[in-house]
Amino acid sequence: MKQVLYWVLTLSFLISSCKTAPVRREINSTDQIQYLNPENKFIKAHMKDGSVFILNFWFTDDVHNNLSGYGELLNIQRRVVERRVRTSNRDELVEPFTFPFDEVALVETNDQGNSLGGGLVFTSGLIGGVALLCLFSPKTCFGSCPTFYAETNDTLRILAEGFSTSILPSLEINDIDMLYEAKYKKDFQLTLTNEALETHSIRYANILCFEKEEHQKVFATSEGDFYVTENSRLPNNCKSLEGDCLEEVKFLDHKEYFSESDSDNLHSKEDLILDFDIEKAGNFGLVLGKRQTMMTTFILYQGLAYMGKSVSYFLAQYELGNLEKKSGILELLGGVEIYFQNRNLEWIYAGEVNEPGPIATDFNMVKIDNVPQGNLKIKLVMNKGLWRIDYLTLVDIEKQVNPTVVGPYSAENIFGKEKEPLAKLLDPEDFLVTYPGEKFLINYQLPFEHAELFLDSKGFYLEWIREDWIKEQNFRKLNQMVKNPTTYLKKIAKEYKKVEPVMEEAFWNSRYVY
Amino acid sequence: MFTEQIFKNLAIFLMAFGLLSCSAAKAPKGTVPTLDKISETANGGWVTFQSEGKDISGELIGFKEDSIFVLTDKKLLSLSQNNVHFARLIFYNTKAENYGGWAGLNSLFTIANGWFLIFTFPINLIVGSSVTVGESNRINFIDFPEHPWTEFHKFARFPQGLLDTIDRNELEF
Repeated sequence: MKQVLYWVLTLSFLISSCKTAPVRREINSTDQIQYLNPENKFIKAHMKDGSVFILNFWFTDDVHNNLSGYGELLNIQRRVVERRVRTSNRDELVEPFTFPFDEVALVETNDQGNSLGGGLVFTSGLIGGVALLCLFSPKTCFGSCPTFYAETNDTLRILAEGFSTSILPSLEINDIDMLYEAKYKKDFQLTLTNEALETHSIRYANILCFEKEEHQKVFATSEGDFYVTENSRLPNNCKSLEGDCLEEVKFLDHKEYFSESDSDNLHSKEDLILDFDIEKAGNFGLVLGKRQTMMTTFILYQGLAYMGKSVSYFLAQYELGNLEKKSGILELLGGVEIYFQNRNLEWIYAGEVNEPGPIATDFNMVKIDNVPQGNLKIKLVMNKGLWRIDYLTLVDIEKQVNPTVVGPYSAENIFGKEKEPLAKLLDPEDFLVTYPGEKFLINYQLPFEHAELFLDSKGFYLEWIREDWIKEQNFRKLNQMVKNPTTYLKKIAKEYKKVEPVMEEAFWNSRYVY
Repeated sequence: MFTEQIFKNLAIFLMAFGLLSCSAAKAPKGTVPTLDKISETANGGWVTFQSEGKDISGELIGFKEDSIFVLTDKKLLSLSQNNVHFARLIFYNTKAENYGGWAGLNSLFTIANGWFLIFTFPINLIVGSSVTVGESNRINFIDFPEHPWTEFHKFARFPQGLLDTIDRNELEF
C-alpha cells in the first residue's frame, strides 16, 4: 500500500511539475477597444483622473465614442464609489455607466488561465457522493467480519475472513480458509483485526498445517477433506455470457471474472465453460479461487434493516428457537456448482463450493475422478453477479492428507481491551472478544520445512445496528424475504441494481492489495 | 491494521501537501487578490525591492519618469529605477494552501466512504496532489531584471503612470 502511495505521489508530482503560464494582462489604449475580445467578462477602464471602472458587462458605442457597462467605479483609494448592477427586470432597469473614450487613459483585460480547483470539486463530489451513498445505503459500506492478515511475498495482505454468516451465537460455526499467498515461515504470525461496527467472538483460531514438497499444493474440498496436488494446468479457454474470460481466471492476480446481477431477478443463473487438455487419464481437481460480491452482504444487512427497532426481539427469538429455521435466502442464491462433460456429452454434477464473504479470496477444490485422456469440458453454474472468480486451474490429485493442528503460542494485544487474548483463544469454553478498531498479533510455531497452511477459526459476531437501518423497518418485506425468498429476490433486484455498479467497480478496480 | 495504515499514509499525504504549499511566491495576506479575483480588483501588485542595501515591500502604485512609487505600510516611497538591482512583483496569491487543506480534508472524509475508501482515497491523492502542486507552481510573480520595467507597469495601481493630479498623501492601502 505504501509503495502504491509513493508511486501515486511521484506520478502526481511529475504530472504537475510543469509550470503553469502566468496571468496574461493586456493594457490597451482606447483606440484599441474595438479589438478587445468581447469574451473578456471583466474589463477595467483606468481613467485619466486615476479612478477606475471595473465592468462585468460592457459595450462600446462607436458612433458617440462611448464605453458603457455595469460594474463598479473605484476611486484612487480603490474604494467603491458607485455600483450599478444589470437587471433583467424591466421595471427596475438601471442605466449603465457611460463615459467617453477621451476620459479613459487605458483599458485593462486579464486572462486568468484555467482554474485548477475543478479537480478538487470533482474529488469532493465523488467522496461526498460515496459518503452519501454510505449514509443513505449503509448496507453498501462497511461489510466485514473477523479479518486475518498474513505476510505474503510482497506485503501484508488480508488472506482470510472468519465465519462471515455467523451473525448470532446459535449460528456459530468453524470456517476453514486457505492461506494461499502466505509466506511460509516456521515462526508464523497472523494479524487479527476488527474493522467494522461489529463485536467479534472468536472461540479459536488455529493453523492447519500440511507437510508437502515445495512444488506441491494442498487444497480442501467443500466436504472438509484435504488433498495433496501437483501439475497445475491452465484452461485452454473460458467462455461466459460476457465473452472470453480466460484473462481474468488464468492467474491469481486479483483480476477477477465478474458479471452484473440480473436487473429483474437477483436469483438468476449464468454459466462459465472451461476446457482443459488431459495428457493422461487420472483423478483431477478443479481449484477455484473466488470470493463473493457485495450481494450477500447487502441482503444480510437489508434483512437486519427490515427488522428495524425489533431487531433484538427477532434475533432473541431466533436464538431461543422460537422462529422456524428454514433454508434461507442465501442458500437459495447458492454456491458455484461444478459439472463436467462425459463421453456422451452429458453434463455430470461434480460438486459445489460455497464460501461466503466478499473480502478475502478463498480456495476450494472439487474432485473430478476417472477423467480419460483428451479434452475435458467443465461448466461452472452460479448466480449472476454473486461471485468473483480470480483463479481456475485443474490439478492432479496425489493423495488425501490430514492436518497437523497448531494452536497459537502467543497473542499480543496491539489495540484492544482483552488483556489475555492467548488464554481466551486456547480455552475451548471462552471467546476472544474484539471491538471495532481492535488489533491482535497471533503467533504460531510451525513444525515443517515446507507446508500448506489453512486457518481454522470458529466463533460468531454481532452486528451493531445502525440508526439508519432502523428507519427501514418493514415487517412485510422481512416476511417476504424469509418466507418467499424467490419473490423477494425479484422485488429487490432493481434496488440492488442502483448501488451495484458503484460497489462492484470500487472492489473490482481496487484489486485489493494490502 | 487497515485503519492504522490509512492514518499513516494520510499523515504522509498531509505532510506532502504541507511541503508543497510552501513553494509558491507569497504576498502578505490581503495585499493581493487570488487569481479568480484578479479581474475584479484594481490595486497594484505587491513588490519587493532591494535598493541601496535595504529591502522595501509594498503596493506598486506606479511609475513616473525614472521613479517607482511604492506604498508601504508607512508611506508612499519613491525610488529611482537606477538604484534597484532586484525586484519581485507578486500579482496574486495562489490557493495552494487552501487546495492542500481541501485535499487533506477530502482524504479525511474518505473514511466515511467505508470500503470505497480504497477507491476514493487514491483518486483524491492523485487529483489533490496534482492540483496542489499545479497551483503552487503557478507563475504568480515577475522579477526584475529578468523582466523589463514596462512589464511591471501593467501591474501597478495606476498603469497609466502616477498622475500629477493625484494627491499622493491621500493614497492608502
